Amino acid sequence: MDHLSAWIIFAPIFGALIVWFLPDALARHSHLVAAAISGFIACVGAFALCEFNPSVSDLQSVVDWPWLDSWGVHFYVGLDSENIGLVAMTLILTPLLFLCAPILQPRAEPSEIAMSCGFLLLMESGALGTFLSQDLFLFYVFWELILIPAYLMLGMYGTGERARSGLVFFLYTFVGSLAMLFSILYLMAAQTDLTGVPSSALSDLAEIRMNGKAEVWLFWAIGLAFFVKAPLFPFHGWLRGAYKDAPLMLTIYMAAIMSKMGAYGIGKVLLPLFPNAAMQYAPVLLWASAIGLVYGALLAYNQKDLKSLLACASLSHINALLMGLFSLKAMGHSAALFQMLSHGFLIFGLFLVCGVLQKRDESLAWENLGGLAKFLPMTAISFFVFSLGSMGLPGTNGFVGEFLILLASFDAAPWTGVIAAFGVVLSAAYMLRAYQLSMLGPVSAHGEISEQLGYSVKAIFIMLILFTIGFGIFPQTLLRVVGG
Amino acid sequence: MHTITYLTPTDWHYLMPIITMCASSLLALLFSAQKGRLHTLSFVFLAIGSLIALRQIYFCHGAHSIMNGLLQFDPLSQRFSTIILIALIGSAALSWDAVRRERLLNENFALLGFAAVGMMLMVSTRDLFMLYVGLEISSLSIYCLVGSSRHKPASAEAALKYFILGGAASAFFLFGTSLYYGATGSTAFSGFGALWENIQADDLPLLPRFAILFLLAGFLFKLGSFPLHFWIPDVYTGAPISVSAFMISGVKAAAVGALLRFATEILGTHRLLTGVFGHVLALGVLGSLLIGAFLGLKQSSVKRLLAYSTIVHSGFILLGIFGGALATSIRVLDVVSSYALFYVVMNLAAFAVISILAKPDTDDLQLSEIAGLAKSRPELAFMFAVAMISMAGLPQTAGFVAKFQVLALGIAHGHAVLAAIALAANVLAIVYYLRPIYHMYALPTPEGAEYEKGMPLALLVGAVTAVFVLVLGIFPLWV
Repeated sequence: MDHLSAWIIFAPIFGALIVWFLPDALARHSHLVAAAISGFIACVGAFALCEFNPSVSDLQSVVDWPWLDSWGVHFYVGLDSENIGLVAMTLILTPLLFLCAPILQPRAEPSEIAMSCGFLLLMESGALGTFLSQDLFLFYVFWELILIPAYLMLGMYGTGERARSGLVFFLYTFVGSLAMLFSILYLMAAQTDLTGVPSSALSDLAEIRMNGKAEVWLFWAIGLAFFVKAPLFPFHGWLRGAYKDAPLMLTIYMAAIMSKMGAYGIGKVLLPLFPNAAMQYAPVLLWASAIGLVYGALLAYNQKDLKSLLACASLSHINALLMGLFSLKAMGHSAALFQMLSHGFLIFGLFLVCGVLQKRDESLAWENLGGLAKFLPMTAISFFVFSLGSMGLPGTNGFVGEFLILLASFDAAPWTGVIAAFGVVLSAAYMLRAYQLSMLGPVSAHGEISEQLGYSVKAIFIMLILFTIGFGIFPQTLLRVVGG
Repeated sequence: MHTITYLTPTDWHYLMPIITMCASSLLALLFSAQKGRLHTLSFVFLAIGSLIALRQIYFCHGAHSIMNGLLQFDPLSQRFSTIILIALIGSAALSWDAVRRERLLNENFALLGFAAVGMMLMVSTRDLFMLYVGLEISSLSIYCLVGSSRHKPASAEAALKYFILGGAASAFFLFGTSLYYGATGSTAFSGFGALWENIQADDLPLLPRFAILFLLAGFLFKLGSFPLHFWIPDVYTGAPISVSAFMISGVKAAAVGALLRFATEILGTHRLLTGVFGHVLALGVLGSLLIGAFLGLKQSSVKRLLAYSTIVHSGFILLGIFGGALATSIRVLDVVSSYALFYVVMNLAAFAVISILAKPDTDDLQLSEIAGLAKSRPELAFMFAVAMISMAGLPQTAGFVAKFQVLALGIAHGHAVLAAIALAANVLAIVYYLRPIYHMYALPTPEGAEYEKGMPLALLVGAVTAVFVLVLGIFPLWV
């Protein structure tokens, strides 16, 4: 049980190889195989997670293997209160994602589903590695690992202008990543100068004190990578195209897990490593995320189909939780971590609803949806509960995180809190609009549709509803563990 | 009165790899004189000779100098000789099929072997004359090889271009050698230190300054870096595929090894990396990066695309040499030799796929021809994709380890701006590395596409190198 952290990082890669090279008899059910593999990994990971003791502030389940010795790079991973929630979320969501594959990609051939599942397993490995990594260089390696599978999935199985969206997504993210690489190498060089012993562990790098100008440059360079990934307001240009044109499984992954990698990086790497620059620029970033919150909400209101609306809604929510991080308050930080989890599960549920509605119309345009609540009762209920969670209605987990973030941002810069509150009102507007246009109202010309959800999808809906309401009423159980 | 210098047994021990390669090349030449199946024997002798030479290099430990630096065998020469031999074996394997179908000369293997001997001499010497001898041996063989695709006029054109320009570069090099001799009274690298131990770059008299500039020009030409990079696209595109592979990997490795030794011993040790030489090298780095990145964007021919990518890589390697030559020589040797090794492996993987897929009449591969390769021949698509991803420098491949080391070395020694520009150029370059991947995976297969079957050696080379690209990313050698 010692090297559990390392095991759950590498196991999905082997899982991907298994899924890609399945014998023909099993190839038709590759998504089930992938779900089984990732489910197994989740169970194994649960062992490590259950052993986690929130009251201890040190790293737990630590694995420290020397890797590139001459550069001081170690395979150094461990669990702490910041990443445990995200690790748990990734471990849980991935098998669920595979179980829902027939709903999410109904028209895909078995070989396409197998490839997608393999890619997603690789991306799961990258996400887990990013969350668990305590060494900055290792963080970068796993951060970049997800780029090519995501690009390939977008390019191969996407719709619409997938070539352009894929390239834009790749280049935006890559520019940020290379800026981060530069900063990492600079920090490693500075660390070697300081102590004579090369190292790239985060704890060692945090000890470096550098002069103001260099710190500012490095802050923005590393920050660029995270701001693009999250995405923070001015750097979101890749989001709409990528989310819209990506196959639904990839969209879910990007919204639920990939965006959290950016947010997590801000909390784990950016703010601790550059405290002075953080204090100097946090107000600017706080305002940027407040504007992003409102911008995403307004954009969402104006979208003409459900998928784009949810993409913009996701942008708005991510900017909301970034506000918590940029408030530089401990409460804001914990709230952001809590909100990362709640948003992850909520957006998974919402896109799952999208998947069900895809049966009616692939493009999910408003004119083709309408009055579906009659025909899809369970989906409608789930959609409604998830919408309430997104809006932040008290009693849902969305409310808890949002409220604490509002408090933190009021504390930091009162006007941003006002804007954020306004954004919350807007989120009610667009979510209710989405629900109304798709579920209520007159039935569109396409006529009836039958709800044929498998048991797994129904179970997932129920589980997510319970999660939303349960942690809305008893947030302490989660808040105790996450964010310390 | 001249004293006769006899070679001691230790000298012979260190010389054996080169002698073995000479012998195997001669045997290969012997068996190429007749037609029939004997070309296979030619290849076999060359391959066995290379493997024996590799083993002999492996058992040479430490540093040993013959005739006071005329031949120098040390970790640098061992590593680069290993890289050259790997490039040789890979390229010879890739050319076997073309020789079998009589699209290349029968003497192909012998010429490859002789070129390798010349290259091994280039990296195993601390004397400018011996360097020139090695340079010419390899260059002349390669001139013949470039033009050896007799049914293609582009091949003859490429050979002529390479011969004329390469001849001019060799002339520059020779002129630099003569200036160097005039300035120091000897052609050995050690002669420089005897006269100008602690001089500043700007105080250096004109004669040695020009000597070094001319020598650098010769090196930069062979390396293919700006401002002497213009021969690369045409020559690499016109040459037969296996010869391009050999040039991209072996010639580059030899030039890197020779330049590394020159830079560390003459420029680095004597702190001459500032001033005009620093500017020349920095210009070389910048120009190569930007030109290679920008000009590659519009290419539709895969070979030409790889040629421009090689210019970008020259920029990176030059950054490593420039950044690290002042450093302790162990670190810069590690960084540059591992870069060269990973670079050779990546390129062999890419060229293996090209040699399987290229149409025989054009000897080239267009991007449109590899559309949908992932469905028709997934193993080839995977090999090529791995090579492209590695060249782009994405984790966790060998190319990433190579690039990050060079950048770290550059940043650690004050060339942060150059490193930043290198990263920017990498962003541009990745656009054209992604394009073949997109074509292979995301586009449908065109109707009526057919690929040559039955090139087992090339497939083997591709598979082995692709696997090594991935493995070396996780467990890198010589780092």
